[in-house]
Amino acid sequence: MSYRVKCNDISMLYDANKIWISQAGRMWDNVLYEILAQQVQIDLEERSDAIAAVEVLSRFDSTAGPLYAEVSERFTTIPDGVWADIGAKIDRAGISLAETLEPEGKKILRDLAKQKMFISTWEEALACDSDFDVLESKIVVRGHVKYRGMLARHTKRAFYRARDKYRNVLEHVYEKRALV
Amino acid sequence: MRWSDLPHHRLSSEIAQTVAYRFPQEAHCEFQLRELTARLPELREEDHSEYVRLVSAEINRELRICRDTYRRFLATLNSKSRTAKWEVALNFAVAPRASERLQQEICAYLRDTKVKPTIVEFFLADNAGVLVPFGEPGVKTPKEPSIEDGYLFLRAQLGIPESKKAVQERIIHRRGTIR
Repeated sequence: MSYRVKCNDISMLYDANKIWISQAGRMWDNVLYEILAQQVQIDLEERSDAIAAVEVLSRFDSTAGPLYAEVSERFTTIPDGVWADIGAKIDRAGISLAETLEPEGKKILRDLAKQKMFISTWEEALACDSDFDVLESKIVVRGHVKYRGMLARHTKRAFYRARDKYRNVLEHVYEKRALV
Repeated sequence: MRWSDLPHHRLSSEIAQTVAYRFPQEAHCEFQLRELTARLPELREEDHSEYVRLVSAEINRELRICRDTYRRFLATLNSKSRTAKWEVALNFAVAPRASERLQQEICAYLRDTKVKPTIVEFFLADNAGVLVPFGEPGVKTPKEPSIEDGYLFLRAQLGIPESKKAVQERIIHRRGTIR
């Protein structure tokens, strides 16, 4: 489309019209900022919900819960490298692996230690894909065969539980606030 | 519950009623806006600036009333996350209304300023790349433009926000484009 305007006339045209051009832009900006402010308010509210939830959780649950919740939304199957990164973050937070695992996981750590295999970091525990060929994969309890599961599986289970606790607490916070 | 199943008619009329209600001390704003509207064609910068301030404040007031009305209604539905409900209200009620109100108010502003539709289109439609010197043969005369066409060109070029996500993208990329 052509406007049949001489090039020299363009700046003159702009000078004659710059007031409404800039003010229309200002109106637009003012409304966009209102929408953005409403979004920021929601984000801040969510953050304060998360902080309120985290206060009642253990250190491991409050660290691992949000970490795993976020990662599990991004991957259907979480790659080993990502598990290792999460583990490294928990290690940096100074959370003890041996004290946090559930009894079955703790027992595997002890059995490995008996074989002079000392696993003390979350990163190692999450990344190992076997039990180093030193542990029985099956045990018999009261005549029934039980699969013990690998160390990585027990370690990951701690994350699943942490995520569930984190979400439950968040839901509880939402419900309480919904009644306000 | 689906968004389309909500009682939008009832909520819209509730919003309209609240928007229409004014405190006595706000009356002077309406009067001032009427006076400023009449003076827009004189193109005095302070008048335009004040006019835009008042109109933007009106739009934002309406958007907040819309937000509060939907939030209040959604809160009674169930006890699920209230921030999730706020997101829904922002995405599906407030942002589309912002888009619609901006279109109405910018078109009204340009019409009241008595800007020619050709000029609106010339500046807002981002067609500088196809400008040709006056009198060049073979150039077709464009169809008679309107302010709405100019605004719709602008909307197509810049993507006026229909959703919160579009708003966020626009706010990052758009600054400086229109001015």
